[in-house]
Formats: sequence, C-alpha cells, structure tokens
Amino acid sequence: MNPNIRGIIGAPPTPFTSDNRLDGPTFQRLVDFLIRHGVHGLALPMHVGESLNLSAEERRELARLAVEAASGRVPVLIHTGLPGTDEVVALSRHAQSIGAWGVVVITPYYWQPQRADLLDHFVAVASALEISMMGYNSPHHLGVSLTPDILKELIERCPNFVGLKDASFDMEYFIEACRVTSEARPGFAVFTGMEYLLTSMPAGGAGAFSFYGVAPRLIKALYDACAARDYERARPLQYKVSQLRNILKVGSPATVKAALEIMGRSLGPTRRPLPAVSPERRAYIRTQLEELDILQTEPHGW
Amino acid sequence: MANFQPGLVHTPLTPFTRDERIDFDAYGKLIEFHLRNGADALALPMHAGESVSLTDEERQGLIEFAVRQVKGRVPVIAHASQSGTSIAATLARHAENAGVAAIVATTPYYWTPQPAMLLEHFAEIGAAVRIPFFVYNSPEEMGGTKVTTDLTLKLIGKLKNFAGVVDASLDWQFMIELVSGARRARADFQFLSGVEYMISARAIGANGMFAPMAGVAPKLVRELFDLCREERYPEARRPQEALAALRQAVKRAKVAGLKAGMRAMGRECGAPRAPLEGLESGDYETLAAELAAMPALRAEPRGW
Repeated sequence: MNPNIRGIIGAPPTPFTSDNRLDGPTFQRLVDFLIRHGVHGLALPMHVGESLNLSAEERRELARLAVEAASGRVPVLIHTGLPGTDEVVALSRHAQSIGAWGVVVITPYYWQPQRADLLDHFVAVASALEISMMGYNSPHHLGVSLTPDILKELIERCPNFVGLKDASFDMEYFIEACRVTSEARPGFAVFTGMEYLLTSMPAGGAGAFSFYGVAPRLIKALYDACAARDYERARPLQYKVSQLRNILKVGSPATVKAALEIMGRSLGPTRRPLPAVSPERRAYIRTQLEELDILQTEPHGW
Repeated sequence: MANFQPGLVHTPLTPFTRDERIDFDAYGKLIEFHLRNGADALALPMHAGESVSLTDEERQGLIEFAVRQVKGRVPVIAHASQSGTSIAATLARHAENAGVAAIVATTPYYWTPQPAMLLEHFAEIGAAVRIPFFVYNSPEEMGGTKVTTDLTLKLIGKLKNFAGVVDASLDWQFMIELVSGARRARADFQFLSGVEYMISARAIGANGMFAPMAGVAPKLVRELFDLCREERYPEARRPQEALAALRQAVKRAKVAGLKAGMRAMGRECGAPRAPLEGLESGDYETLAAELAAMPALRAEPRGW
C-alpha cells in the first residue's frame, strides 16, 4: 500500500447508452483518455459520475471496468459511499477484491449522524479493508462535517486512513484539516473538492478532484504551475478554471456531459431525476467554451 | 488615491475600565504597542474593537484620539459601519475631517437588505467622503448578507474612491470570482483578507490583511504576512497553522477570548462591555494554559 497519493484525481462522468444502460466501452475509453492526458489518479463514481443513480450491481461493474482500463497506470479509487454502513463495507470489499488502490467514503447520506456514530461508520469500513480509505467531507450537502478532531481520531484508529476529499471550500476548515492531519500522520493527503488548486496547494493541499475531461490541458497547466510554485502563471489559469466551473455548476453533471459532447466526447444522457440540458443552454455552454479558448486549444474527440 | 495600499492592518481592541468607560490610558499604550510591533496601518474600532457597543460619540472620540496619538506615523482607517445609511455616512464624514486615511464599512446590521439597497447604502457612505473607501464582507457575522461580485462591479462603476473589499467570507469560490472579475474592471482593485488566513487569499491575489489577533501575536502575524507577500508558502505554513490554532483557541469566546489572550500576554485591556461577558475565571485559566502551551507564541512580546 502506497499511502502517498497526490495530484489531480480525475472524476469521470458515467456514460449511458441512449436507452440509459451503462455504456462500458465508452467508459473505458474515457478512463484511457484521462490517463493519457495526465491525471495522477482516478476516483469513481463520484457525484459527477451519478453514483446515486447507479444500482449497487452497476457500481461494481463500473469499478471492475475502471480497474481493467487503468491496468495499473494510475491508482484507482472507488467511491463506495451510501447511507448504510454494511452496504459501504460490502461495496468497499468488492473494490478491494478487483484490485482497486483504495476507496473514497462520504459521510452517510441523509442520517446526519452524531460524532460517535460518524466515527463508527468510518472505522467499520476502514477496518474491513487492507487497501487505503479516503474520507469525503461535504458539509453543505450532508449537514455533517468530518471535523478536524474526528480526522485526528480516525488517523489514530485506522492505519489505512490516508486522505480526505474536502468539498467545503472553506479556508478555515481546510487549514485546520491540513494542520491537524499533517501532525497526526505525515503524508496524509488533503484534496480539495474540485479544481481549487491555487488556493489549496500553497496551504498544504495534495491536489484536487477534477472533471478533467472537458479541458485537460488547462487543468494540467494549472496543476503544473502550482506544483512548480509559479503562482504568477497559476493565477490566470485558476481564474479561467473557476469561470469554467461557474458555467457548468448549475445543472451538473448534465452540463459537464454537454461540454464533453461539444468537445467531441459524447457520453450520452444523464439519468432521471437530473434534468437534461436545453438546446439554449447547450448553445450558451458552447459560446462560453469558445470565449474561454477551450474549444480552440483543447483536444477534440478521443 | 487608489494608490493607498494598507498592507498589514492591525485592528486594536477597545480597552475598558472596570466601570465600562473607555480606558484611554490603556488605549494609548495599545496603539503604541501596535506601532512598535509591525502595523502598516490601524483600522478602528472594528468588531474586535466592540464598535457595536460604542455610542457614535464614543466612536468619534476614539478616532480623534487615535489620529492624535498616531501623529501620521501610519495611516488610520476608520470603521464607519451602521444600520442606517445616513448615520454611517455621518460617521465617515466625521472621520475624514478628523484626519483618517480611509474608511471601511460592512453591510448594514440587522436589515439583510436587497441588492439594490445594499448598493445605495455603500454608494452613499462612499460618496460622503473623498478618501479611499473599503467595503468589508463578513456574511457569517451579518446574518448572511453578502457583498457580491456584481455589487462590487457596480460600486467600481459608481464610486471613484471605492478602493476594494476586505473579505472574511473564507469562501474560495467567491474570492476567486471577485478578484478576477473586479480586476478586469479596475486593475488596481484591492483585495484584503479580513482574517489571518493569508495563504489562499494571497495566492488568489490579496494585497493586504486585517489582523484581529495582532495584539496577541504580532510577530506571527507579521511573519505570515511577509512570507505570503513574497509567496514563500512552504515557509508560511508554520505561522499560518500557528495562527489558525490560536484562532481556534480564542474564537470560542469571541471578543472576550481576544481580551483574555491580551491579558495572558501581559497587556490588560479589561473585560468586554455588556452584553458580552468576560471569561469566567476557570475558563480564563484554561485559555491561558492553552496559549502557554503553544510553542509558536514563545517569541511573542510580553507586556507593553
């Protein structure tokens, strides 16, 4: 087990056929595309991959396809978050059995557990595994937070708890998470949710999860500038990436799929209840991609 | 005018005597302490200086006192926030006449106004003076009322002396959108961090910082600011994380926590005014012990 994972973790959307079945061949193509264009790791299915619209069987199938397509080139993390602890343990064990590098586990959906129950949940999952576990903090959506003292206790109790994906976008939380975890476990990796590399890496962050496939060159350039500590170069790139995020934010992941389709990488529809992208919105996204120079400078097709 | 760059701004507390009057003797000592210990500018009385518990006359008196005490050694920024627009504008005008270098004001207390009213509020305060005018954004303290990028762009269009935003939102998405958007409209738009979380703010493009904890740990604050200014982030992490730990310790009790921190460092500023309460004696000892156990505070000055 190599606990040091850093860089850009690609979070691919899940392709569906026109009759809404999992599109395995396209998914493997996407995995290959992301790796060829420089992601340092993969995590799936995240919310942008419609994890919550997949059956447990489909999630197992997707995990298998991803590990197969990656074929050891980059670490693959499987997101196994669900409301029930036993279900998370079962999905995580499956991920381990098919050769995943580790799992990502979000705080349980809906229940808003108390501190002790939140700890029990993560300890149960980690201790059922030999591979690595990463926590996923999403306080705005789930109403509970993996507070710094919970992170500290998890590090003490779980030798395979190696990282955190933070989607709070809150500076105070992020600094606390870096401070507490780097003291408790040097090398512990704190990732920011989506592409906030300029704000997180100087503060001790390990990198970011990313919907990388839309504009891989831009996001890679931003990461490389931050990693080289060339902040003059990084600033305009981060501004641009943030503009791209803002364009796609409302209506994601359908908007992300629309952007990918405009870039020649069609992944099919999103599943209900997610709304489809209207023709007007699609045209708007296209214009914006052009204005940001993404249409002209990023790879088209596979 | 737009060239006025406040840099590292200390925000002094307001010391009170036992009978809750402003303790001007201690205030004079406090101002001298800030000037000797790294302040590029002073902003007062901010919320940490209990502005909301002072009468308008007291605020005016404090500002006049500070300007006399500082004697031009550093710029003084006057905090002119009020719920009522014309009351705030009057405070701003008074401060300009008293000789301050700039004005800072938050969104109005209590009202949670709609965007158009917010714009009018800031535009009127800004137009009441000719010196640079900063807007302070602290949504968590202000019932969720936010300074938005859109409002900022409108202020840039409307007010020649609008200098920038002091931001305590701690929100990366907002900070990036604001700085990139506002600097497209006005290249010298200033962005200052409203709290001692400087690494991310500076990476985004912040050119200054308000430091409420500067009275407790002026050396750490200065070190963080200087390292960030040069974008030496790997070295900046140590003072950044030390100040983050200090903030976690004092913020539970807010102003009382800051005042207790001052006492623990040998700089007595009294207790907060009612309705804020000072720390119970047991809580004070706990906090003092916590501070004493922080290795990063050992190099900080004790006493005045």
